[in-house]
Amino acid sequence: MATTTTETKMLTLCTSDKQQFQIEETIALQAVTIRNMVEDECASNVIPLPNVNSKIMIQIIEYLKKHVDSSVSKEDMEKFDSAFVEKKLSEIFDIILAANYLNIKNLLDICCQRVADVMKNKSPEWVRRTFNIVNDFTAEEEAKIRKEHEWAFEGVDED
Amino acid sequence: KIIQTDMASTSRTPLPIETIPNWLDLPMDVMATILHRVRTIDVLMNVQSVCSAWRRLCKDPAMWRVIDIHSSGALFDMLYDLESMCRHAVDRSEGHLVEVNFEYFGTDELLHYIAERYNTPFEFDIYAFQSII
Repeated sequence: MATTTTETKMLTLCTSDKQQFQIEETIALQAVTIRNMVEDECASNVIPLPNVNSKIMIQIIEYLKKHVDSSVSKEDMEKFDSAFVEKKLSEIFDIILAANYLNIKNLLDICCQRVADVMKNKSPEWVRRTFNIVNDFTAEEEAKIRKEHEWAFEGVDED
Repeated sequence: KIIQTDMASTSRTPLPIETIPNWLDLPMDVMATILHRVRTIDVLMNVQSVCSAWRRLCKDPAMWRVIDIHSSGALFDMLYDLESMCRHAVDRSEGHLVEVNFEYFGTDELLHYIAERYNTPFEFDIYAFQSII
């Protein structure tokens, strides 16, 4: 098989559910974890990504493909990013885990911002429900927290 | 959280129950990255009261590097004592403050309060500040 230097170099990524994705190396190398693996030559033909499933990988590839494209204007990229994070929080959760593992800083940043924005003007109870977090404060601690909050109010009823 | 319905259903296939991930399963540094991006007012009013893990994260002075308190002028905001909140946030930054951003509120006393606590006053940016004269 003849290969030329101009031929696009491809990498194969193998997800936790054993799906293989063949993508251009320049796209994949935006993920620092993959870049390190390639540079250290620990990766041969197939790069195993045991912490990422195929459903999430598809979305991450979509993101990487867009971001490798230098013809996209800054404005359009921002539009793409804000549309990209318009997903259910459970999906954002999985993407955050994958972006953290793959070390894709921009992707991690926009997902973290999306989660932070969700908390605007919300009560602790709403946040606990939405993020499946148990209130683990003792009654004593709760009372202390309530007291701490008193300074923040000018005379509004807490409800 | 499983939501059950009492309505008798003829369907044999149950509706898929969406599992909500437990966000405390995220690595703590990632969780901190998220909380750093939450507006100061939401950290003070809500986030630090969610659970003990988040409360610990909020105790880190690095959480208070940027203090961003906006009064949109909406009634909701007016009910809070934004200036006290800002002072409180400044106290918690323990020298880590790099940026203060507040709008539509604030007095010279507040600026003075911040400057006093930072030996090189106004090394950090105070922008969008409108002094109420």
